[in-house]
Amino acid sequence: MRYNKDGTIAEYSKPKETREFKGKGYILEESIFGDYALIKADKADKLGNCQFRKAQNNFNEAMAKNAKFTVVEADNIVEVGELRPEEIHLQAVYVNKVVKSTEQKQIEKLIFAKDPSEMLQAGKYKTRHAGRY
Amino acid sequence: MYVNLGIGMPLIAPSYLPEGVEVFLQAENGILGLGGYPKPGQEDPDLINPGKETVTLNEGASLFGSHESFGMIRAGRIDLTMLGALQVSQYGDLANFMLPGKVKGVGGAMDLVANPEKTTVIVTMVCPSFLFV
Repeated sequence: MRYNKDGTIAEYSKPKETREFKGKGYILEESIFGDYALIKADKADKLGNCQFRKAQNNFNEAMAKNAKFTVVEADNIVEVGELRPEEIHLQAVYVNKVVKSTEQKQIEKLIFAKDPSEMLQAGKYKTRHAGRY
Repeated sequence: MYVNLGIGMPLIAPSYLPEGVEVFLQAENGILGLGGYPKPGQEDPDLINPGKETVTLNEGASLFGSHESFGMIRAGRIDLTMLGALQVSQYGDLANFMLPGKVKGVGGAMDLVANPEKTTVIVTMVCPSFLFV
């Protein structure tokens, strides 16, 4: 659906195809394709085979496979053969370019475990705070 | 038991888990076996939850991409989902398109509610209340 500036409806969404599989209803939602994907990986070899570290995969693997042109920013670039074949998470066939990271990684929300005695209080605080929304 | 936690209040839940309870927490950015927040010095920029907060892994954890994560969720393999919401009707209709100034978009909720019998919505009213949909 698309709106006009005054809030009236300019264009309705097209009805989506529905199908039933094993008694459960499904709506067909077509994929969105990217022209370019900018992907982050821990290690990439010079062919473009990539390995993610910890929870780094996220949507990186899916988006790398989706876009027409995929650029990987890797923390480490290694020689071909250094990554064990069975430990490659993203295959070079999906990757067009590899660049090395130049910036240090940032943590967006640094949260530490609370002392058990503080936990109850922390819960109360968050509850009050969240109540404003 | 496998449990998924959404952004917001549900993410506080791991800190309240009593010791010895066998629960595997799933985070939709690709973690099964999510632990609590790290102690200072344990934090890792590559290990975060969907709310971008630093987390840890429990023993037996596994890591994967978000596409795999949503596959697990849609397949009904996750026993319980806890998610935040802006509004919930008495019939369980859910509104959580965005959190103004905090989170853009509905996020993984569309996938999580694909198995509504396994979904719990946590909202704050005068006191925290739990609603089963």
